[in-house]
Amino acid sequence: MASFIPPSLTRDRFRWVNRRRRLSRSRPSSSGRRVALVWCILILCILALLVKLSQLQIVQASALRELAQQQRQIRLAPKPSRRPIVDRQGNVLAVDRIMYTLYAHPLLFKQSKQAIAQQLSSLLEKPVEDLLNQFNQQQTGIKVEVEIPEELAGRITQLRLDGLELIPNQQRFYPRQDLLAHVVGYVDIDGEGQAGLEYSLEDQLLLPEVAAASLQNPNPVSADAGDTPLDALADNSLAYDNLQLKLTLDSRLQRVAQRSLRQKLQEYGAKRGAVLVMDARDGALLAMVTEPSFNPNRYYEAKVNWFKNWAVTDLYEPGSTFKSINLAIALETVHLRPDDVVNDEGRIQIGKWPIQNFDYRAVGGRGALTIADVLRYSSNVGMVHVMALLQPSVYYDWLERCGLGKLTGIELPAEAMAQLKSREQFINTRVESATTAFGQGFSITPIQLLQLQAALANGGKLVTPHVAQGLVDETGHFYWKPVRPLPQSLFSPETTKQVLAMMEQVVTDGMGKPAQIPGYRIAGKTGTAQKVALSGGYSDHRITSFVGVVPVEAPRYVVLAIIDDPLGEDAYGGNVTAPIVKSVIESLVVIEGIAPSK
Amino acid sequence: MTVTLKSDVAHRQVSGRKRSSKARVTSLRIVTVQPSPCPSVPNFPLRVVVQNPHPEQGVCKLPEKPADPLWLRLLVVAYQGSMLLTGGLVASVLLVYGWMVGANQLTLQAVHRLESLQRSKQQLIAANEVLKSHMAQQAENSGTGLHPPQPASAIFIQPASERPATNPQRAAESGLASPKDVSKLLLPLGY
Repeated sequence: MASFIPPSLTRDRFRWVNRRRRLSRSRPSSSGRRVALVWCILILCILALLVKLSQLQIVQASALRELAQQQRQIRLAPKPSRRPIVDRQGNVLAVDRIMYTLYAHPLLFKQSKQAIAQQLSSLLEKPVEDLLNQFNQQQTGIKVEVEIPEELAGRITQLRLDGLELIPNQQRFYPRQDLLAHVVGYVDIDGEGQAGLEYSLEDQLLLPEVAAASLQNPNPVSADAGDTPLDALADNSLAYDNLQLKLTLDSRLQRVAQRSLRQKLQEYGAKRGAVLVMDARDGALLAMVTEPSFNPNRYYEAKVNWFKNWAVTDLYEPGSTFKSINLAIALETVHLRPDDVVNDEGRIQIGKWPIQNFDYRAVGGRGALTIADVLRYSSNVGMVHVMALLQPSVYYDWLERCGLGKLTGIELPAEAMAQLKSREQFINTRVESATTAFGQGFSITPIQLLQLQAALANGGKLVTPHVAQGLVDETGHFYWKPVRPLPQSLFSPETTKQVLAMMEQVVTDGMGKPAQIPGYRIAGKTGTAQKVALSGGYSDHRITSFVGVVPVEAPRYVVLAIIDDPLGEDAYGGNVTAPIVKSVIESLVVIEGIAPSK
Repeated sequence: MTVTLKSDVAHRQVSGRKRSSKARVTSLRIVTVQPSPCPSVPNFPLRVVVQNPHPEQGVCKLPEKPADPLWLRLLVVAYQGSMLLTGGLVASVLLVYGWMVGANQLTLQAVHRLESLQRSKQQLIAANEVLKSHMAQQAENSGTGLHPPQPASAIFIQPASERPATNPQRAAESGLASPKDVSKLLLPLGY
């Protein structure tokens, strides 16, 4: 086979190879130096990298880590700390919202103080002079305005003025103002509930994130050291569980009750009053008005005694409204019938204590009265005779069974316990059971009286009064419900039916006529009790009340109105509080869709 | 015929072109020549240039290249493996870095949007409730002519008693003869 390499090319290449070989043989040290040079350069580069690496990783490590974390941090707006509170229709009663505080730092102003004050003046509705005075106070950190709403904050931001700073913070807001203040309560500047449900159900209202973290940092940066933004977001998402505390109260009925109560308070110059509406089936309160009230958005302007929901926290002697409870006890124990007769002398003497009817001076003794008439005329003497049929010890046992001396268990804070005389005193002193027969000589909270009246309306069960349904999401699913004891049976249904029938006569033909509503069967009982004087004994001051049950044919709703210390000689339960109950029931039957029955 | 063993030259040329080591090994193996009366050539070094004393007789056969030693082959395999690993790591590092940066940016955008929506929701709820409360307060003023609900001005509609469940198909079968009548029954007649 012939060679494929041209001879001329072979010769040329051969010469070239020989020349290179000669060259390389002639300068061996030159190549070595170059290799050494390259090696040195590489080593130097590696050393330089090592030095830089150690500088970054060791010397500047902490500073760089801080810089990195600053870049990764998400500055989130302050999150709601509490769940909203809504009424039974979903109307918001308390909600967190972002408000801004405007700070000024004149040191950083790029325009003159005068120019900035003029621009802010119209937005903040403050005189330019006031703003200038504020700007001249110090160089930085001047709190110019608080509680700036989001919309106004946006307009201030749009001015693009250097040296102004808007700090967002969450604030509890009560859109209904004083309507439900005593039930909802308020949250103070530290974010802690101080009254009402904001205090008593704080564990349920606080959102998980805030419950775990400190409340003292109103503007938290959610990404802590070491956290990634995603971690921070995951933590932060806990704040949004969309749960809200749903109440049993109805804002519409509450407003009607408040309006009626205020009218009567003004008319009779009374100092305080309360209206309570309860669903007797389960003890749910539909309205709970206590006057005087306060605006929880500006709680700091209220007097201290206004914060008290006295329908829960204060005791009073219920007077004649307790007679229906006493009659139920008598019907249960001595098998009394409504047409049994007792003698009403108008005035009797028990020991050294005289007891007389409220109208003794005008009417005198009424003589023989049926049990129903005793209730209809609200005869004190008649009631003393009826309850005298019971052994005092049995009577005392029944009073204890009624819950006197125990709390009702309502969620609202600072509930007072009814005060009853000691067992020995009650049994051994005859006047004690006599005064208790017409609702004096012991004290009870309005909410407990309502609970007992509800037992007459629901067939004899002692239900737990309550205002909270539980924590509910937007689909209506309950995530938490308060645990309440099962209703205890107190009276038999027959007894309650008989008592209600007697109470109906009070409205149709007795002192409760002002509560009549055409077409509706209403049972009721008035009450006018003397108040205990500070010096002991009873004073001329009164506390009037009226309790109504509607509808009698299927009793369900109990309405109690109380007015403390109405002025005037004609201020009795019948004419002061019965009209309040009437107006509340008028709205109640429309709201609940209860058709007239006659 | 004179044949020049040019392995040295070939090696340098290939190095100059920056070929891979594999390519160089292959080029060394390619050199094949026809059998001829050639002097015996030692296997190595390849740099030895042998001149065929009888060029007219053809090309001498180059000596067979001995197999690479095990350590060299292992090094080559390790080199190739490390190349692949490095490439994969670089790609994955870029991917992870991109994902981290991108995900953070997307998350931040989403968070700010969520915050904005939540603030708007809060504002709307508060404004709506303030409006409702304000309207209720205004309605209480006597000048508006509005009154609290009264039963005398309300219409109470008693709910109708529950009717027994009916099966339309069965009713059609029992009461109507033709499908035409059934369709008339089921279609709305007017509003």
